[in-house]
Amino acid sequence: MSRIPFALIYVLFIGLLSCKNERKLEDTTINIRLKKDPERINPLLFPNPTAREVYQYLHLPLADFDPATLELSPILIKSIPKPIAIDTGMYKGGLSFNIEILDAAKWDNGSPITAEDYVFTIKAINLPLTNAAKYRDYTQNITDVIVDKTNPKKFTVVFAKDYMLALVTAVNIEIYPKYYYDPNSALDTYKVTDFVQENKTELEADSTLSKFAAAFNGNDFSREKLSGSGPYAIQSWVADQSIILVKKEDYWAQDLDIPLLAQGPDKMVFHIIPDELSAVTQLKAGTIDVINEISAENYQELSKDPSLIDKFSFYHPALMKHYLINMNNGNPKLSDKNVRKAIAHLLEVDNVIANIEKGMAVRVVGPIHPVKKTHNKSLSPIAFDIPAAEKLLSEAGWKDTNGNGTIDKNIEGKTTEMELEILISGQELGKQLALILQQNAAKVGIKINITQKEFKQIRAENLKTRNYDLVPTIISQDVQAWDDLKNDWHSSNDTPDGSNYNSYKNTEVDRLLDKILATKDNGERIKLYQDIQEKIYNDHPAIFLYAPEEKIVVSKKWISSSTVKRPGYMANTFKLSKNAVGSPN
Amino acid sequence: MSYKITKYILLFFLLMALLSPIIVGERPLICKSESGFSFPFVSQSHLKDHFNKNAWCVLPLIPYGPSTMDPAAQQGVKPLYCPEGKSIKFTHWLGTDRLGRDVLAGIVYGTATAFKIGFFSIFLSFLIGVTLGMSAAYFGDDLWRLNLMQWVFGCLVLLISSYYLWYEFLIFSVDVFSFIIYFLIIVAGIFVINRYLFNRTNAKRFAIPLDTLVMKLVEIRKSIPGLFLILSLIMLFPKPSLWNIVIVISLMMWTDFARFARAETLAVKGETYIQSARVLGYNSLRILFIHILPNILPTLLVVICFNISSAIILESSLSFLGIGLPVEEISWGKLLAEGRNMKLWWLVVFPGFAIFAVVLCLNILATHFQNIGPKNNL
Amino acid sequence: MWFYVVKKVLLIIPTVILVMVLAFFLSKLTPSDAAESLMNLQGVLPQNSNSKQVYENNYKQLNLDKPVFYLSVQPDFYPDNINALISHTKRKEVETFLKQKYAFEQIVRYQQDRDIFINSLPKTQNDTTYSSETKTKIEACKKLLFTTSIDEIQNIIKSISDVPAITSNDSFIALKASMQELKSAKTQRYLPKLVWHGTNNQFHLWVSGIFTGNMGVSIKDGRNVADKIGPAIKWTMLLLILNLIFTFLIAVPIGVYSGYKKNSFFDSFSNLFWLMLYSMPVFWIASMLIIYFTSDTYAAWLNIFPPPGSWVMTEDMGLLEMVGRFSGQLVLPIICLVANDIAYLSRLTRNNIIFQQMKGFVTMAKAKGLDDRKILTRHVLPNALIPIITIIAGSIPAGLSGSLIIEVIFNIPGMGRLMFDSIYSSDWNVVFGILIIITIFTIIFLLLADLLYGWLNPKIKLA
Repeated sequence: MSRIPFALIYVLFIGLLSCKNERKLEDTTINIRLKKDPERINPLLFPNPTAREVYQYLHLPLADFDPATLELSPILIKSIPKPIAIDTGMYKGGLSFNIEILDAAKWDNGSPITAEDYVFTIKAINLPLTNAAKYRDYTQNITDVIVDKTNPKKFTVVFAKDYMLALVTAVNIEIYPKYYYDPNSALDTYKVTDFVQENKTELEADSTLSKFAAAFNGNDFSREKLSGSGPYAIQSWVADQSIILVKKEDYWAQDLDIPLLAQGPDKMVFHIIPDELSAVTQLKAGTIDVINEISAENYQELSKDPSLIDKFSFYHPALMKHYLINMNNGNPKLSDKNVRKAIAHLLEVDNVIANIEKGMAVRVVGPIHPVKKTHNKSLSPIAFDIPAAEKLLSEAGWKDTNGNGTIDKNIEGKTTEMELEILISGQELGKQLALILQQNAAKVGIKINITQKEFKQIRAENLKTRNYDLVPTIISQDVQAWDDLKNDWHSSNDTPDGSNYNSYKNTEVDRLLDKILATKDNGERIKLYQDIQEKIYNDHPAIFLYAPEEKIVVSKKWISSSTVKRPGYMANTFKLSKNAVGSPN
Repeated sequence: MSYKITKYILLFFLLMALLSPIIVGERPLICKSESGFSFPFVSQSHLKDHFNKNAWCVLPLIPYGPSTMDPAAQQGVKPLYCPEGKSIKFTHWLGTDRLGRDVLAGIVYGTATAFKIGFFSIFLSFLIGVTLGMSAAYFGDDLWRLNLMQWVFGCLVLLISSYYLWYEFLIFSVDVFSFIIYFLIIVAGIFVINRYLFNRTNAKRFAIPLDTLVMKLVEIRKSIPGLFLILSLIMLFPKPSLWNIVIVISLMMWTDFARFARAETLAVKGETYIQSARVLGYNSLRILFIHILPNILPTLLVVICFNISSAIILESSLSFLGIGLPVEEISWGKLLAEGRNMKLWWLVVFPGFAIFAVVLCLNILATHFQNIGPKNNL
Repeated sequence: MWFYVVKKVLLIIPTVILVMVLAFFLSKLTPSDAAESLMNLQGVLPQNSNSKQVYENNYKQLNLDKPVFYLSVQPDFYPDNINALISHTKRKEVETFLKQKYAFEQIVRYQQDRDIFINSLPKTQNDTTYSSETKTKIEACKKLLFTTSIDEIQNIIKSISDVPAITSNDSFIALKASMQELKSAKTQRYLPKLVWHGTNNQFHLWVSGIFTGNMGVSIKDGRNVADKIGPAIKWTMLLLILNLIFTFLIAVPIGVYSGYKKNSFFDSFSNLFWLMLYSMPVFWIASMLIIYFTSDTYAAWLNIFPPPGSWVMTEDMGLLEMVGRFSGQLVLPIICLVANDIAYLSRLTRNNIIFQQMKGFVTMAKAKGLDDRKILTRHVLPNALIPIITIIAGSIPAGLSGSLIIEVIFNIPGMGRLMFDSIYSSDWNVVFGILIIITIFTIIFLLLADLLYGWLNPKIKLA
């Protein structure tokens, strides 16, 4: 009797072991790791970066930044329109763009993509009842869209006011098939100009509109029913597990040589694996072909392993974000720019890059990413220099007068100790930066306390109320040429709802920031951007750290490439490698 | 079994925890200079002053603090690495982590963290659990009777004081410890006043269904998943700290003590010596704490040992998930979590072994107490 | 018997309600803000010009502007419903003032006067009529927007009072007055105020949804809570059942043998061995197993198991189908779970066997001349198994909340991870859904364990 369970265990175990499933990977299937479930796939309503990894193959914009040159290049349209200044009429002083959609461009049901679809998309975004708040911020500048009477593929986009991001706003928007998302033509009777925030209460009362908005915002269009002009279609999506995309048959753009429209693998399987260790193990085992956003340490280990070099291609393109430590310029302890500079001297950024990023990062000196043409290359990063920091501090009047190991200064009659608090969220980088800063600051007599909080909380309780000393944050930028620096650096945004979290004030910078908006000439604009960077650099409002690089590993089964554009790779351009065909995985 | 060895190993770790401030640190213990002896170890003065002007110094056994980053040993050096040009005393016996922090120093310091969490959380949960469990069993549903005055006074004071304590110590300022202490003082006050002021013997009395209340409380706590309780409670604290973890763990674990204490008290309650103590008119508190508690303690030792080890494991699991302890605090779980991908094997093997050793010893101890317990109960 | 069951089942209801209320309040105390979470999901950053508007829309849409519960007990200087302030900045500011015990009315008046004053400040930037000293003073006034300390407010107002261009302003006089009023409105003594909010409150709206079978939708992906919990519970059940089966099959024979050969070498050795496995932190074993046994990085012969965590499947797959398809990937997580549970169960079995063997019927049987083996399998084992089975039944609900660590490391989308992610993204509807389900399961299983015990052991009468 007592032997029976033992026997059973053996049988079961051997049964389980024997099914180390040699899963046959179909050769034309590419397996991609996703860090988390994209939750909703709807570029207009929920444009999160994880979802973008999937929807870039499903929904296409009229034009997008070329993965190689980073210039706007046409996707669904014949050419990038030139801005035409409006001299007469009610929109005098405004801009317009004449756009024509490709003749061949078709939706899944075979009907052509027309100006109607564009008009529908703009209306759906501008309707204050839909959730497309992110895009609405830009598209509310579009005053009108005039469809050509003779050619349904031709239309003109009108901006009543000159707007710096007008071109990008007009063409870099994913457009939706009207027949699919608005089968009842609910928005047809309205004009683009009807949908403004001021009319919100009126619009809410309109039952057709609220019905449309409810359906449009609803989960169906973000999960169940997805249809776009992209080269792939969604086949299945099991939450938190996998998403499968398949190549569209007889796709209209097969002859065009545009990366976004290319059809490579027959099938894309996105495996949702949050834990990096298991993702890397799967990559090594060959169940996954593409992995991105991995830690520098894992990337380095993989790329240095001689047995893996033949199996994988390694890419580290630039990533459009950079780290900085925000400093509260309004705080009396940090209001002196020399004190801020001294603290910047305390961080061994090159060492951090070597240790944490394994050298895959670029130093940053200001709010603009180094790969951009607006970046000011003449500024040199602040060096790690403890004696210099000490000197700056003592010049600014900070000395240890009471012998407690912490420097102090008499501010408005009160002896103030140089004790600063650095607030960090759970990110590993933030923790390590804080620890390094704490250790180095102790050498010059600055006491640094570390407090960990959720970033949402830090923003609500500390950044917004300017009730902080130091907070490491990230600036994420787009690949587009012109960044809007006004939000973060203009003194008029130093309000509880504004995002000038550093409380940075410089009248000269304010003036230049305003001037950029009025400047049209590109060369002049670049000059202005560089001047602003120099001014900000001299004031040391924050400690600018570095811009990390993306880390992507792709199986050599595929002929692959990488790009600066998020998410760093385009799996639809990957081709099966010749020597991989037939070789067992 | 291996009870004796276990005892010595535990004692060794305990000693390490107690002495960790002397064993680990970069500040010299004693310095001799022209002006006489000084003890930089206790003072706050600038570190580099001591090395400059002193004739000689006595350094701690491990001359690195748990969070000192050695610039000569960055990116994680292997065990037994000695930075060039330094004496053997500065060897990193167990290597360093990515930031150049000494692993041995971390482990020694982590012992203190582990024992702090283990002991204090079990102390708190013991306090809550055993008090509730014992009195639930002793008084049952009908033994603790109060007259109307006592009921009204008790409820009123309890309600009003909890309202003020809530706002004063949890809303207007966050001070959980004062909250707990004041609350206990008020409860004690109610007892005393009820006993000496409102204790009219001839009034009609109504019983407190203490047993039902306590058991309901245990049931409710048990039906809330631990994960939810831990995560949401930790979110309530404005700043992470070791004491938050202690409070949260004790709020998780008191039910075990309550259930065991109740069961054991029920078993002891019927014995003649308790009955006679009652007949002699000893007061209930005295019977509970002088007669019953020592008798049920051996069984509770099992629960204590098991729960200390689960508290240590729970803390390391939380650290592994990145929740709980403040950034500067070093714990075994944190070291382990950092070395999880096995790139630096010494970050995994040594702290993992430390957790394993302590937990195993505690578990062996618990089994030992179980075996020598009064009954060989299940 | 039936009466007992019905009574127990009815007693579930108040417990569930209590747990719901408790969980609801706990969630309200955490500093999470669902409206902001939703805003982040919509891709709206705080620096977008419409972020304020989007936040307020979400705030109303999620009913956060309603009072929390039917009634509230709060200090008398509090507003009836502070949630009605939809502006995030304003509400937070009022809260900080309230915490310093300033009265609500005066706070609001001060806020209004202050905002008017800041807006009426002269634009000094390109104006040459002001001296640079005055300009800095006027700039410094903007600090009023951030400070909630009355001393600081006073200092700022004092420093500006020698600038005639400002002091002559009406808004400055109003501000000064309301600041004085605010200062005098600080209370030290406060009485409790009981406010009845009626049924238009957050708790009521949520609970009435539950009673109509609608647990709400997740703010994260807009799916119904039930649709999210369903698959998660399937995974957790899968792990739980496999874990129980294997633990039982391994631990019981070991326990029986140890008990049978009490204090033998096997007994003490197996005890120590399982205790050692039990003492290892789960995440430690799990990570090591993944690293060494799923790829040939270290040695080709160590590459035994497929790397876990890739579950390409259809949504309507059954449990058995899942076992069949993913058996290889499930081995490692099951090993981790089983390794941890064996120590307890085998120990329990061993002690039970010893306990039963000391009983009279064993001596009787021995006296009758039955051989040891038969006594063990026929008489001792069935009796010893009774408490073990009830304990297993009682341990099922605890397992239902999932094993977070195992789920994280082996990438299993079960209940633990769902709860963890939901709590951290303030997706409270999902969290509450899980809580309710687990609470009901817990109580039902405890009841089942009770009944099972009574059924297996006729000596015990259920009261």
